[in-house]
Amino acid sequence: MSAKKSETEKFMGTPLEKESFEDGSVILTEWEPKLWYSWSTGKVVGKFLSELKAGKIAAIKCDSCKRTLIPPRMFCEICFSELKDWVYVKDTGKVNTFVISKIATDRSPLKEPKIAAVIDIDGSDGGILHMLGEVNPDDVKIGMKVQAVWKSQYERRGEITDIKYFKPIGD
Amino acid sequence: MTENVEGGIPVNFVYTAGIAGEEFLRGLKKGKILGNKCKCGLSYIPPRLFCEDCFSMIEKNFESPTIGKVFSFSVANVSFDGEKITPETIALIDIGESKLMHRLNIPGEKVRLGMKVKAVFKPAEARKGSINDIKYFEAI
Repeated sequence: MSAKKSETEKFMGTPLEKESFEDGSVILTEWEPKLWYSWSTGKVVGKFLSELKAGKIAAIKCDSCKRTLIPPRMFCEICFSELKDWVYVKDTGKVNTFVISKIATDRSPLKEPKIAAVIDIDGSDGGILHMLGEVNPDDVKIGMKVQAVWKSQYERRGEITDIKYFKPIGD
Repeated sequence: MTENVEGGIPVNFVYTAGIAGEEFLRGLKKGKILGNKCKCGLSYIPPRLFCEDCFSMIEKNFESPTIGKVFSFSVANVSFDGEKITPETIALIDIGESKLMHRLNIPGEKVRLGMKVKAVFKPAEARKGSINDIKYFEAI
């Protein structure tokens, strides 16, 4: 064990160095609990995801608020109307906000930073959280025009990741 | 319609057993079950650095026999993750000074409280310093 004797005596602990985890000096117990989940999408999000599989972005309209909502939902959160009027919107939009992430969800460092962004979809009053691609992180600007890059129809599974990312399309 | 979205959450971890725990794991690697005994009379397997009863630091280690008696047992039909598994018998085994929880290679219906069992270690080269260096306890 790569313990510093004086500190061990003082604190009754064993200081571990980064090397301790690599050189076999300390016995390690590794474990990975399986935290699988499955959530039911419900009617509206279910249809939205099925439309993604078909390569289309589906939104839902609220006639009383005159809004086109994306992601679609069953009820308007402003006027509480039940929503049934589906429309397709374009797969283009503008960057509303973004973040450059250098670590993965499990905090491991990423070789290439990932850019997550909220994209306001053209022809709608909403936006979706997705990734940006084919762009240098330094060049991302709020208001930048982007377009969805889709997986091929054979790879699409009815998931938000059926869109690979959004890429800049210039003015 | 897409009815379900499935995924997983990665939560990997690495655990280090601490001073007393490390000694226990190194003991297993050598094919030994180690314990320690506090001056107040309480014994621990696996060993602890401090007595949980009187809070003294424990310094007296001992090597436990690898033979004991079934003190209590249970049959597990599902894994930690809730998946169905071939039923496994888990027992608390009285090995003299203290008790150790481990697997039995005896079907639940054949286990009797008080039955004599002994630890079966993996071959030396397969041991890693893990509680699983003991494959199971078997009847003698």
